[in-house]
Amino acid sequence: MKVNLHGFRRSSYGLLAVVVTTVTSFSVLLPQFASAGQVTSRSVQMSDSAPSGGSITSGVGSGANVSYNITFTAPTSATVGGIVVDICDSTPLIGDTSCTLPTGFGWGNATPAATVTGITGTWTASSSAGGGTAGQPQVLFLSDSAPAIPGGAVNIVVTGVNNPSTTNHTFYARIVTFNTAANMTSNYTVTGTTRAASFAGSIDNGGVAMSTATPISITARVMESLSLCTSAAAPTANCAGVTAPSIILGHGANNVLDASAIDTKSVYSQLSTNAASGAIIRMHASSTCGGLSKDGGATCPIPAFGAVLGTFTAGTADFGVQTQGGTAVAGGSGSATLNAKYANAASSYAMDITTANNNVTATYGDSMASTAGAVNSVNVQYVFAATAANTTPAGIYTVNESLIATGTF
Amino acid sequence: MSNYQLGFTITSPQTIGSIELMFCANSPLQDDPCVPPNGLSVNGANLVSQTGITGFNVVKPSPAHILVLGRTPSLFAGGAVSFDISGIVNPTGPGTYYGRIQTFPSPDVSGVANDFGGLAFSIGNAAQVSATVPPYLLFCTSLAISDYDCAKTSGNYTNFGNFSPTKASIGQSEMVSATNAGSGFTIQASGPTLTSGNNVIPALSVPDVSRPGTSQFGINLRANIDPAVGVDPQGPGGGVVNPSYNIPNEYVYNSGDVIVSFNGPEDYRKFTVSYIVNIAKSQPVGVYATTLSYIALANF
Repeated sequence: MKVNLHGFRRSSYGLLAVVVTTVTSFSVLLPQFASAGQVTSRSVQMSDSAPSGGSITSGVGSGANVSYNITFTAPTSATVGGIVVDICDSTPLIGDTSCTLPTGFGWGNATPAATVTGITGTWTASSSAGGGTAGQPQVLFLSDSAPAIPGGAVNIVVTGVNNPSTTNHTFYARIVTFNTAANMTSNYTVTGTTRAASFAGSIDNGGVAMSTATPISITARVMESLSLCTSAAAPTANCAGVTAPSIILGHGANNVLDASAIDTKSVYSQLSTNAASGAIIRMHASSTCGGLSKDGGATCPIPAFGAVLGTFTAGTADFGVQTQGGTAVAGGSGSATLNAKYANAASSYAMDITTANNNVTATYGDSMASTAGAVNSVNVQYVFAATAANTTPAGIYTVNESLIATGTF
Repeated sequence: MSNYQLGFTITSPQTIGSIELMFCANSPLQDDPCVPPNGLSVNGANLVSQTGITGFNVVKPSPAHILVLGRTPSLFAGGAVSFDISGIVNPTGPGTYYGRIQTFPSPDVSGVANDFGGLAFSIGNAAQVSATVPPYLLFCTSLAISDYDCAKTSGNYTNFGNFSPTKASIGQSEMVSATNAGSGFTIQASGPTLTSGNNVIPALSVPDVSRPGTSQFGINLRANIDPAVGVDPQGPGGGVVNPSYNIPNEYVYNSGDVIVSFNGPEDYRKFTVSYIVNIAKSQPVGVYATTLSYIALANF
């Protein structure tokens, strides 16, 4: 926003003297205002500097429906009954008879929406089309039938303004105060883009420069994202520190499974996603019988424990899992809700192979945990447990548990 | 091969003739070039079920990373739809992959799309759980074994006392066995009959009753009345007594005979061996003795 430093301070007598002494040498080019002062601390603050009529048709960047906050301080302690704010493309100079309309500009309404503070009274807004139209006038008039002396800074807020449509374009506001509304109406004559050179009854005036500017368009594309990692070691943020998710259930020097004990080992998953509606982690077993098998899953001599959490008995062959955690690691955020079927912090385990469509042998496995929305680096711990019976045939038993995360974006 | 379940919501009524699901390794955004995921293939895809909308089939051929579902175009009022698709080969490497969904009014994904959307999914290493169950055989013999605990045995010497031609001499011992041998196990009895130098009390080569006054040595693994000796097999195991040794009140012994067998893993089982000795009046005087070995053999 530029501030026009041009102003005029002339006394009638001084002006007359100038005319007398210089009439033979050069023409007076500057307009003459009797007893006019320059409004100080003047500015026009726009809520949007974008040109109107562009590809952005509403909101910031459209240049439409803009609020103009006009502020000035009258240097003269005189009653003010009329205020003119005239928008010109040419100059801010009060008294310049030419005031071309900045293309596209308009106060927004034949009766612009304006509020006046800093001076008492009931102020009424009106307009003159000038170089514009009745609906998008060029000149704003504010009048009060009971003129008053401004108490300090005068503030005029006009809403619904249409900026000029030329981008990166300087345009001007001419502010003129009048002693009465009648003098303003009678003497600030507007004929298209032509203005009077002087205005009887005017008190103070000043010009302000403004500029439109091309709005800065910022675009950022955020992709759908989902990351699930599995690990034998608890991952830190962003799946750092993962190890191969391969565990052996057993004890003793030879790490074997037998009827004397219940052996447990853990695997972890970590989920990060920006799925706005959250994600579900499901587990799908490679063996059709859901337990530990040594014949590729055809039979499970160490069977899946069942759909209800329970404790194992050493010597009764069983295989199960419990979940723990569901919280974000350091640097992460969010949480996961563990499926109650498997969630346990004590010594109970389950392995569902029966619940329709929600068991570890179903097509899409069984639900283990879920999130309500986006999460970052949330870990779930899966504690696998097994014990053998005396009659569990000797051999190496295996199962692959696929953990699958499904996000809803 | 994996099953994929694709679900999304169409928010406004539109004519739908085809749906395209494009898999990309780099981005779900429609404007970005698509890098097909290594290894992924929908060439074997089959539509298992469709919910919320009907009439679709998999359109082939198509590039390996693009799944096309097509039908006769018709108006769809909008709502949630879901497709179960089998036969998709996952990408070969772990990581995040993307899908780009577009709906078309045409039956062959030609022309301008109605709607589009992106999604992300993750391919990861499955958790591998393994356990080794070692071969296991439990076998012990003794005059008495507490429960099935081979650590609680007592005695391995039976003294029949003075043999009598009018009354059978009896004795018994116990055996406990258990194994996880998948192909089963056997218990074999081995050793000579009772001898005293060159004098022999002959063993019964075929099952026979106890005959006081007739020299005979035999065993069985049953509870007997004549004479009163022995206990039937006990325990949850399934070991089966050789039929020759499984007849109450009849006794037999042939060294090397398999007296117990089972064709699979055996839980705890206790067998009581009943011994009977009879002598004829003519049996030479002497101290008769023998040592019998019971051998358990498990087949893993």
